[in-house]
Amino acid sequence: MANGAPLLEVSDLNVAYGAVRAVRGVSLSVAEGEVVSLLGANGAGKSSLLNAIMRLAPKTGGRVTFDGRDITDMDPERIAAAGLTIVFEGRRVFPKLSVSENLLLGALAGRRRGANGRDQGRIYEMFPALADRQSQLAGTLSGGEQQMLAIGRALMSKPKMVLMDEPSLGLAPKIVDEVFERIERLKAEGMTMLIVEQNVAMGLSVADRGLVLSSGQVVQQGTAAELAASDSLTDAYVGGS
Amino acid sequence: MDIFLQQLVNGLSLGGTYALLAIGLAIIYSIMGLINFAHGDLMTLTGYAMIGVVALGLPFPVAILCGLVAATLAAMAMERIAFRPLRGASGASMLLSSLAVSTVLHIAFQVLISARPQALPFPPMFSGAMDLGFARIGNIQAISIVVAVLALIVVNAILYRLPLGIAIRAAAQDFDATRVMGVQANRLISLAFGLSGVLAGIAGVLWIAQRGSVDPALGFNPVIKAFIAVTLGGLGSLQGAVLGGLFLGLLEVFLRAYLPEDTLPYREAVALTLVVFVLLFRPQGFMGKSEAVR
Ligand SMILES: Nc1ncnc2c1ncn2[C@@H]1O[C@H](COP(=O)(O)OP(=O)(O)OP(=O)(O)O)[C@@H](O)[C@H]1O
Ligand SMILES: [Mg+2]
Repeated sequence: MANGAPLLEVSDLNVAYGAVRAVRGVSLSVAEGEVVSLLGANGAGKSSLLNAIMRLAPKTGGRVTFDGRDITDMDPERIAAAGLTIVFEGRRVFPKLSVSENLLLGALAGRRRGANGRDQGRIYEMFPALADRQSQLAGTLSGGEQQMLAIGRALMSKPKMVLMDEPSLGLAPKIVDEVFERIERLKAEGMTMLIVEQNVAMGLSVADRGLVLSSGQVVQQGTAAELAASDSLTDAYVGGS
Repeated sequence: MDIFLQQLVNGLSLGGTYALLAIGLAIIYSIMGLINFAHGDLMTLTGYAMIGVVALGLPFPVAILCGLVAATLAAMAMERIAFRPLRGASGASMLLSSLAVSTVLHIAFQVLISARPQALPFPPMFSGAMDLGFARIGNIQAISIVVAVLALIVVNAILYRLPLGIAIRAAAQDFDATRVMGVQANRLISLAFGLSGVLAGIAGVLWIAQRGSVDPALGFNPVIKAFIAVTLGGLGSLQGAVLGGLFLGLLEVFLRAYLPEDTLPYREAVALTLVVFVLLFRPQGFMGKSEAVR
């Protein structure tokens, strides 16, 4: 579905936690409407990369542009207001806020794009399980429901692009299918996404393209079909470092 | 029975004042892990601002208003100058920074104003007592309780109704995720300090109304009590802070009323021992989870 100039462009990005270099010179770009899958073993640096794009991990070099603007040194709240948001690894919903309070906060970043707290209906229609639990505390939801809420909360701001970090983490296969069915639907609606997945088959099934990260570097990339057919892909997981 | 009722009212009024201080401390602690030692100096500042306004010949309600504005602005300035540069630093560095702010304010009060207490007479409506037939209730105690309850209702409405208030609660749970919601970190923290400042100001007015004078160390004792209240309630829990404040106020007043005469000098020690006991059996406080809040 790629059309036109890249919406997100990352060049030569480095992330280090003290002496630990988690991301080493990664460059990638995602075009508007495109879905890109980021694959790699535990500790490969996938989360560090996504968090660094949002300026929530310590960048030690590189440049990030989004929608024609340099966001390298922008505050996370400004990046969110520009239309780029993240669904964190481990969901990170606000456990002691209700479902509807979580969604209400989600709308704050999107005020300039016309999102408001009353758009909750759209999310409840997409995730009916949440509709029945509007006043329930998010911390008491099941893992699957929390993932739905995390995605719904991100969508409340009417973002132009969503970074998704392991949406299937810790979920039963049936729930994973459900989550990916929603991701498919978002893709069909034209949402641009960069999705981190441990589950290679799942990750590639929704993606146009994929990148494989190993020890903080891109070691392989190609269309989803190419990667799915590749033998060396498993090496990146088993080999790790 | 009527004595008991009077003590209950006294305890609630003292506890309500502690609760106002404690909730301000808890809001700041829950968002940024800072234990703000300079919180009590906001009470003192409120008093001096009121003295200044009264000296100008302006009406008393204007003095109260100016006192509250002074505390609010001072709290926000404190954050801007002393805490913002340390954001994300360890709790210990921030605690030290707040100690430094407190010391500077303390010395400034001594040098610029006076080390001796300055009188701040309150209007007659604050003195005297109401005879309810079955009990006599001091006006100031009644006012304290009413004001504390109203303030807590307003704080509650802010934190549970306004989007930025809900964001304050969210930030206490996950600061980075709150920023991704588009909430400006600086605005949110500034608002939280403003809120804690106005609450410290209200507590200051109530505290000074009981004493009639202001001195540089005025805020020290009540803020220590508020720390204890916050700890008792469960660090960072807002409901806990209110409960802790009320508990401590009641405990103090009832010990003063019912301890034998010759043990009265030890009543603070007895109160603190009881607090230690509570914490021995419930280290996480009344409302705290057993694991860390964040
Ligand atoms: N906050 C942190 N402080 C120090 N080191 C960190 C931090 N976060 C990540 N790391 C280190 O950076 C490296 C990359 O971690 P990261 O979480 O980005 O990997 P990942 O690919 O997302 O792994 P996973 O699939 O397990 O989520 C790891 O070696 C990890 O230990
Ligand atoms: Mg990860």
